[in-house]
Amino acid sequence: MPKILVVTSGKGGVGKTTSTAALGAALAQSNQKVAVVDFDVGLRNLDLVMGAERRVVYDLINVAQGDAKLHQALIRDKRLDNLYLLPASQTRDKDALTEEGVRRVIDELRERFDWIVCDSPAGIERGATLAMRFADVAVVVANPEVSSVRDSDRIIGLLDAKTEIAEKGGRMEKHLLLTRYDAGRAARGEMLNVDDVLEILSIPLLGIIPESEDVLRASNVGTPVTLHSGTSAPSRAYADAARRLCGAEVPMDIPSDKKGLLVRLFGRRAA
Amino acid sequence: MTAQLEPSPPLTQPSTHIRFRGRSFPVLALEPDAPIAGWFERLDACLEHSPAFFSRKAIVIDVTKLGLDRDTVGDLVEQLSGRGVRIMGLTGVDPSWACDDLPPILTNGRSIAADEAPAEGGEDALSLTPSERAAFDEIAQALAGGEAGPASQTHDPEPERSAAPLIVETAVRSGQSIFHPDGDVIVIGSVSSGADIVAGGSVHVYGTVRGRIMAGAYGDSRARIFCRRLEAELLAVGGFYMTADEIRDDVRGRAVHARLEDETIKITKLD
Repeated sequence: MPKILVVTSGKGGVGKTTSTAALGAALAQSNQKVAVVDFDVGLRNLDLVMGAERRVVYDLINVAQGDAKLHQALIRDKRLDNLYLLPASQTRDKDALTEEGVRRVIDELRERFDWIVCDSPAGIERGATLAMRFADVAVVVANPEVSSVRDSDRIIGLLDAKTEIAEKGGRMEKHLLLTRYDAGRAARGEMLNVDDVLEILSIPLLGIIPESEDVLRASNVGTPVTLHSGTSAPSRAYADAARRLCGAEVPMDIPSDKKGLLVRLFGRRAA
Repeated sequence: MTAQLEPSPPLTQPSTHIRFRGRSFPVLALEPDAPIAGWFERLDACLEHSPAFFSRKAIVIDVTKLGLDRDTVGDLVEQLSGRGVRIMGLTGVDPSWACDDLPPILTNGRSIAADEAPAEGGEDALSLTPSERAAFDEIAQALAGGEAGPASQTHDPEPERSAAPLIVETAVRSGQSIFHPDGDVIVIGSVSSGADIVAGGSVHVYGTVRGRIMAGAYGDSRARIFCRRLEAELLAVGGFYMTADEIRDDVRGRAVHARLEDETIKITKLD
């Protein structure tokens, strides 16, 4: 049974696109057929993070409007055979998306893939509501910071009201992915800690992605962080999150890059 | 508060007649006071806290105490409309002012001005049967509540809140608004930052309140607010409000109840 997963947050810049790419790649690494779909029409980024920007011909709008076939628009990942990208259009805006068009594309993707991961744009307008419209699982991405948490709360309300599954009386499965987490700063009270965020949002925790330079480094070379350095802390955290999405019981910890005592001492002096 | 009664015209030819029924509805009456400029400043301050307070509400403007001339009333109506207040009627002005530029003129909930609308052929539309009159008086008296009006000499000091409580079994998320004008609201989950609860009666929250709670929104000063943990942005009882800044530290984060005492909100710990 294919799963439609939306990665959403309300607030911009919290890591939706990075998380879409990382989770999509991690799911594909476990031998499932995965399509990642960029819903950020007009401000597309997923193609860059996936390293596919030079191979975009057709996009989501073309397929939704019937100007191109789905197989013409899907871009196969160079590293993983079972990972595909459906890019957004950069020249159009979100009004070009219609509910019927999106429904057709999603239905067609459903026949070919195990996971369809929809990268939602920021905001609560048309692009974001259409990205979540046909989903049955949501990953809510939040940073440990009050404005991000409140926006996520707003999105959770919309997931329970504006999606097809909710309108039919079903329950949207929701998971929290806490990104850019710095255990040290949370302990010093400079950031919300995990318990604060969970208390406010009251949805189950899918994973904690530590703040790390590896994430930016991977984005800049156009590689999902899970494919870039399999052993780095964020990479392991995303891989664990993907396993939990598939129903595996993985103990929750906050992965960190293990450093020797000397490195930590020097690190502290330098800071 | 005031009540409105639609006239029921005498039944004539059954083949062509349009049915009117006398019904009364509670509406919110807004009473500007002099000087108007100062009153607008206060209104704007309120609207800043609750921009949606007047949205989708039927409002009657009561200018009885002001004795304004017609142009000033026209100005007042225009300024209120510009702030999103939907005015369904005007009261406290000369009924002969009725025209297309002003909202329909109502008299003080006790009697109805002759309807100037030409639809009924100039017929004096006000023809209440004794039982209709009695029912109407009863409602008008109940609605007069604790206000010292000419109609309230014999009124029941404990006006009824007839409607059943509204029970919300989930968390109220940021951006969501629960509106229950006739009775109590009971929330089993938490009320998030950026969410509103507006109740005609009391509000009970069996979780943390981080949003805004307005109890006794139609002026019931006996309404109360109860919650398991207080982190609210704003509390209001019977039209008097208190923002987070004014909430004392010793009650913050505690199980409390709030009530109105001498036009001030008093918050007391429950445990």
